[in-house]
Amino acid sequence: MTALVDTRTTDPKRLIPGATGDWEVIIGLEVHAQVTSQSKLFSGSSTKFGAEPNANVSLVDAAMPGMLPVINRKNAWRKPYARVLG
Amino acid sequence: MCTQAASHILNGFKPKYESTVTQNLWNDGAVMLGKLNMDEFAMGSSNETSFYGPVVNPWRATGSKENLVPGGSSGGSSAAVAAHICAGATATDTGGSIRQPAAFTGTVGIKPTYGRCSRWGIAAFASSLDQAGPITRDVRDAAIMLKSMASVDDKDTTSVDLPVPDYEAALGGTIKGMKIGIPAEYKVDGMDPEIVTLWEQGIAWLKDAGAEIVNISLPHTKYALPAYYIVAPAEASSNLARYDGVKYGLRVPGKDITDMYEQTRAKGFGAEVKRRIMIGTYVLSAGYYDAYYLQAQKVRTLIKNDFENAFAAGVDAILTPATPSAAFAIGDKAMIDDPVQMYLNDVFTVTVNMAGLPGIAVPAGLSSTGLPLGLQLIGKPFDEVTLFKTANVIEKAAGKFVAAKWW
Repeated sequence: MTALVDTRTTDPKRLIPGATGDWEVIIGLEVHAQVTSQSKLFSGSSTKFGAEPNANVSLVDAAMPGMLPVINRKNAWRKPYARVLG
Repeated sequence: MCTQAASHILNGFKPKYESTVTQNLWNDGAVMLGKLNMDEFAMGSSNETSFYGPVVNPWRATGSKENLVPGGSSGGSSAAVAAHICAGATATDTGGSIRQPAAFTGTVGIKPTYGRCSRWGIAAFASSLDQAGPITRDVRDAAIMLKSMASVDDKDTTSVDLPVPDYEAALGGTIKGMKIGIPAEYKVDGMDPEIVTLWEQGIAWLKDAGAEIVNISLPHTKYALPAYYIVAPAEASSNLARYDGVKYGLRVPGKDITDMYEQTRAKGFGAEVKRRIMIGTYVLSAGYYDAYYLQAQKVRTLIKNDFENAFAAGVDAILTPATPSAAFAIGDKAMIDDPVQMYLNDVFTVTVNMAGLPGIAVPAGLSSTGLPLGLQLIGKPFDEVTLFKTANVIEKAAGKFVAAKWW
């Protein structure tokens, strides 16, 4: 949505010469983590692996009209998320 | 019983759950008589966008047989209450959908502070603006009904854990010394002289009751309607993404799943809903997000600041007209040809939703053609008590307005 603008100035020592000009290598990491919790982040449904199809689905998971997400209150969610997002 | 939000896309949908506001009413002994018509997904100001056809206002102009709109989006609620079909009705208000229909039918409608009622179980239009409230025949009934509907709810994290006051007990209390703000910006160009007269009458009644009238300025008012028509469709486009024909409601078969989604949504949504989904998707799209949505959010903060400044200066409540006109005819050409004309119905009410404040519409008089006109009181967050007390003063001074039975 909002464009990310990198305002850092490049250290010339890091540049690699290329055919069309200099290149700077920037590596981004996208981390997918699974938190060990008994229930989902935005609903009370179980996260039990291997359950029957559609067994771990609540009204909000199924996007029924008028349903609202409620964030999991257990701190178990917040800490790892803060670490991953922060 | 089906819940269809007056949309074809929710055709035959029977929820297996009860919304918190209605459950609260049943717990207090209320009885459901039926579900009422409305604008499709609460998008409209005349109840003409309903898949099930328009609602007819029980009021008619003196000597006329022309059918008028009951306002919208909660037009079924306002019409049923005005016609004495029920004692009170639930309604929702995203930009004026409780207060404008109340004003058009000579009924009382209150949109409480954002967070006063739980939104759980209510089909969402614009989640940051939606609030439920009652439409009733007098202020006392509205006070009783809101007391029942309001609650904190674990299932709606935007509901607020504050005690619900006994609103009814506040009625009859004095408003002596209370400061009532009159915002200069609500005197819009080309305003109907009858509305100006009504407003002045309201000011005189409150003055007579001992209130102090103060002129105030809410300088960003003129940006409220344009900003609302960015924020509300943006949220609607997201909220309505769920209606895809997969799990409930209408399904129109297609050659593959994408075709099924497209056919279902094409057939299931009406023109106004489609218009708003398109506007919403546009203003949220990359490249336009900053120019429209982000700007509108900033405007929203400015509108909120305007009200906060007025209240900080000692104003207890703000008095404005509820609508720019009396009820208009079903099929009014100017409104149908130009959606912006229709949107202008909410010019006095959207600011309240943008700021999350409580607002009440109370009948205050009749137009020269014999149609009801309403005044609006805007209060501080969670100060519905002051609104009920002040509206009760207006109600006592103005008298009762009952539609002559023709149906």
